[in-house]
Amino acid sequence: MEQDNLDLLKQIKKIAVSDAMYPKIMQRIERNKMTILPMYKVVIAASLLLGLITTELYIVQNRANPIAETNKINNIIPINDNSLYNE
Amino acid sequence: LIFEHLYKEYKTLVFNLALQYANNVQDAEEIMQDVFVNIYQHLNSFRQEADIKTWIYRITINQSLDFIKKKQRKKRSFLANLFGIADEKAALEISDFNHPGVDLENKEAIYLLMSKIQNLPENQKTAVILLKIEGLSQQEVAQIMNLKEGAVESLLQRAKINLKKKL
Repeated sequence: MEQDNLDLLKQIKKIAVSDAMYPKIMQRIERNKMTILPMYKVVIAASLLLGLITTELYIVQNRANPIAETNKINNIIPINDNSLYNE
Repeated sequence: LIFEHLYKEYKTLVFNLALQYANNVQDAEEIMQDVFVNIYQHLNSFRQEADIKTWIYRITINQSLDFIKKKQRKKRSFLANLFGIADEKAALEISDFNHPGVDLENKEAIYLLMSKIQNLPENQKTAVILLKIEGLSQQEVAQIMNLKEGAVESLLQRAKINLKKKL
């Protein structure tokens, strides 16, 4: 009985594929290509970011230097009394 | 160019095999798109010593099974949200049987049979589809499923026993 039932499956016919399928598949492939970033672009972006961080650190370092200079002067001329100017 | 050639050569095979798993045109078309995108992405890594037809069969089977699992999971969670409990049986039913390869006179009988085949374990289901619908030989099915011919025969026998219980 089950043999007969399974033989019924042989009557299922093959169906032709719609012509619209190929463009749809190609569209999906193109979309996937756009979402996947190429490695060289990732390397360029990482290098730019690293360059920016380095420049920022350099600038911050240079801005900090005048304070260091003032500190040096204070070390050369120490003010030892605690009196106020207009006392 | 190679891809276009592959598409022309295997589009009918992929679509019809996906249709045997999904039982409706919309889902089969979605599976077909997934299969060819997958083929395109992995064409360079395809090992030439393997038969390309076998490779395409395997991709289609895996993609179809994944698609069905995802669909059942969605259906189960939808039913769980609706009724508060997961209805396993309802999730496994073919709710949208729309197989254009089935004649009207056989539609009911084939629908009944296909819904029972859907509930078989994955490897039994694949063996039935490849042997009985696709009409492949046991040797071809064994190669596709990476099994020995005896194992394919045993899968078919177990599928028949399970179907007999369900019908």
